[in-house]
Amino acid sequence: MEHSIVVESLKKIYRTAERDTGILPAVKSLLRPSFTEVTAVDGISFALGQGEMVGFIGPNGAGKTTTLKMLSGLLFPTSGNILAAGFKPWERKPSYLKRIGFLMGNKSQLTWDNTIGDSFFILKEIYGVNDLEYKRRLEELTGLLELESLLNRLARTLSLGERARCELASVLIHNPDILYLDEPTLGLDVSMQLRLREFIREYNRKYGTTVIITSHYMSDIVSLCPRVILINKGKLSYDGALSGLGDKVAPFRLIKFRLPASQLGGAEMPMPEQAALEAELIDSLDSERTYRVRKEHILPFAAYLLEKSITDLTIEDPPMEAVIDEVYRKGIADMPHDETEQVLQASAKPDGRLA
Amino acid sequence: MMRYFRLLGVFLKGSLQSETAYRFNFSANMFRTLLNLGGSIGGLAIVFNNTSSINGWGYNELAALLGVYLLVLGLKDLVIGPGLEALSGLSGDLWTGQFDYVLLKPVQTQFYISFRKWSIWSVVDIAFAVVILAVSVSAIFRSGTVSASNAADFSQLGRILLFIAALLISLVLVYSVLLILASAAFRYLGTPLMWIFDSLIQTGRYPVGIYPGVLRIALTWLIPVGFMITVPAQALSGTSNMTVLAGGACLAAALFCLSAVFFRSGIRKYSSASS
Amino acid sequence: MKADFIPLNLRGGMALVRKSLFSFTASRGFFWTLAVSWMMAPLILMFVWVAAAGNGTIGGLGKSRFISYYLCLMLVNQLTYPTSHWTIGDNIRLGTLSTWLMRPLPIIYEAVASDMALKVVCMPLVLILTAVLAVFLGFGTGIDPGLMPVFIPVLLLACVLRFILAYTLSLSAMWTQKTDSLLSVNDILVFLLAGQAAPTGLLPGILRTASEYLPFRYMLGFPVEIVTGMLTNRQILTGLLVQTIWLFGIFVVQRSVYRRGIKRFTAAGG
Repeated sequence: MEHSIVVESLKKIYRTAERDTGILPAVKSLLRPSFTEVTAVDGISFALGQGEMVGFIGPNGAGKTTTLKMLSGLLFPTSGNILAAGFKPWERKPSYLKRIGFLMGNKSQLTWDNTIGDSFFILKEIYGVNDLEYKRRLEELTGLLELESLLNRLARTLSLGERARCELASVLIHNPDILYLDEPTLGLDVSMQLRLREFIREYNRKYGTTVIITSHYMSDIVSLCPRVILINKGKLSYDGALSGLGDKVAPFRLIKFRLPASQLGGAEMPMPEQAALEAELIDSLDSERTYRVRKEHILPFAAYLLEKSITDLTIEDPPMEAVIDEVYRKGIADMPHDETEQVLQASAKPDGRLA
Repeated sequence: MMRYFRLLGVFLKGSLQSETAYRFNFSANMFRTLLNLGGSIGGLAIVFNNTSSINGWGYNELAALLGVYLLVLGLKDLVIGPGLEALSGLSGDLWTGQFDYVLLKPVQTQFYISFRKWSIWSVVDIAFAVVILAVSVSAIFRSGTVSASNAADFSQLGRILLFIAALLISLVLVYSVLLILASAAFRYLGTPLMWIFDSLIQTGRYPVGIYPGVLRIALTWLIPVGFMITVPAQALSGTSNMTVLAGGACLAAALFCLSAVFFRSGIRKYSSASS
Repeated sequence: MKADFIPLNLRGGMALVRKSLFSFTASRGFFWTLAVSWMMAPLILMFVWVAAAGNGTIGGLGKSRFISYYLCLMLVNQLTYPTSHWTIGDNIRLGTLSTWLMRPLPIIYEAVASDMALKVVCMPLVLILTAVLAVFLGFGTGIDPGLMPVFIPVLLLACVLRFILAYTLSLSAMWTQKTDSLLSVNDILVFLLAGQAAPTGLLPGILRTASEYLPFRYMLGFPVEIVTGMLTNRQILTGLLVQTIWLFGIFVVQRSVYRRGIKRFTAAGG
């Protein structure tokens, strides 16, 4: 399948002038300015097929938004290459801009004092959508996002959730082939998040739009993106299926079991091999215990429990939030080079999953 | 090209629609316009109560100059001013970061930021300016030609045509200077740069000839208030000078190109170092 | 609420001045632009009158007299021009006033503090620019140091008078949305009658009489006329009398407006 986006060793270094406060340093900086360089994106490569839906994850300041801005042409890359829909984004050719939509969850493109309908119409004209097509699109978006009652309202009178729906519709009026969503659900309540998520999934399925999402709500990513790209400190540290990330970062399982009644009240059941097995008690409620155990120690630990005639036990994957927290705090071990290659090759596969 | 004309209409319509959100502003705007007019004419009347000419300009000529001043400002407030203010102003797009959305539009950026916002109430200001111009110019025409040493004697129609040419030059100059100031906002964010224009253009309420040496030269060539207002007014009073007009046209062309370069370098800076 | 019985709170007031000063200094580019725009009108009118006078005189004033008059006016204008009244209306409408009312200080402190801070921030620039202009234009005659003991108190009274009138007008925002129009009228009257458009002595007949009896001249032109030696001792005394009467009158009106306004504001629930 044809690639929608190909990114090769993309790099962005911000150069900012720095000086101490005061007049003398100001004069000094005029004569010999000193700069600090901040590497926001440090050699990222990946490729997306048309119609793929990918989540960018990473802690604050990891370089996700900077990458999206380079993909959309808002920022010049310092080095590296991008080919999106066959264009170099930073040339900002109108024909490229017409094929992308970029939603920034913390910014608004609706005109404050215009009705939503008027704002949409202005966008229609700017993007050169013809009347017939516009009518069709508007009807569809209005239906899917339930905008009927909002079209005649002024943008400044909308609630956060209403505005989020309108903003999303506003980047879709020209039916872009590539959609960049930067925190599309920022600040929304759970049910509104669910609705937007449902819409994005539906839309991607129907139109085969390539979608890149960043979000701090892991549930957005978990429910939408078969593939995630983890960016940390400007570097790509994982690219593949979400499930694989858990194994890679946190090769743990949670073992939950209930203590037998005989053990309650009295002294806690001894766990002699606890240290050797690196099992860690992370939750205890009444008779329920949850231990975090490394994958390779699961069998011995379970065997030990069975030995103590505890039969009611379950083994679970750790929740995604915990995994991500682990990544954000500790980082991910550097992947060997060949593995990165593997990931790249895997990402080129149509379904975007790791082989 | 047609598309851009169409877009002008769309932007105008959009601005009209957004103005209706503030309907109650009408009387306040009208009142302010009348008040300013009263202040300007009152000030002029007070001066002419004590003298019959300033630097060779009589009352009618200065009233015509006031008309030109109000017309140029009115036109600037009608379309270029609001757009550039929305870009570089204190809560403008550069300040809020919404400039990102501007750059994403598949329209030539300079065109878009210049023409996307219209302020319709300025039409009232423009109408008053035209009235002042009409009254003062007809008084000038009635009183016959002004004696100025090196002025070519033009017919009344000729003067009006010259005035239109001078006004076009003036508008290009105003646009270019404003765009340069707005582009400076890419570097000096948070300084109300457009206000600098608003205070400097005030010097145009009177002919540049009244300002002493260096100041006059600066107001003619550096911040060309003279070309923006004095020269069109001279065309009407029949004291214009073709060499000066040609110089103004060259200056306008040069500043227009310079402003486009400034704006583009501003975008380049934004695209290489925004966050 | 008996705000007017709260005794003078100097420490609280100084804290507010400091707060405003810090925030203004941080964005001094903004305020300096403002200051320059306020200097423009007197500067332009100076050139107009100089050009009108040519080599002769108008109403007894020659070129150099106009220059010294308007340069002084520029400084006095900067010192007396309040700005807080433009924002008080917004604060009342947006409800910031409620925060002010929570403080153990009448809201006039907030206004006074911001105006004092603004003057401190702008003064260095204004002084430098005026000095440059004075050198450039040849500041010749006019200033009599002997008049300083009269000039300085009159200048202070002018500051208070100009401030208190604008402040009282701005309180009208508790009743109406049209405060800005009212403030614009005030500005235009100051422009025409206070000695900006012309030294009040050059105003035509009725305007001249009006300027002598209305408060506007005593906010700006009066101190300038004193320091540039345009007034006789008798005229100074009469002027001082009129100035004091207006000051008391407006102060009394302000107290009553404030009391009623706060009652209305708190009754409406902000």
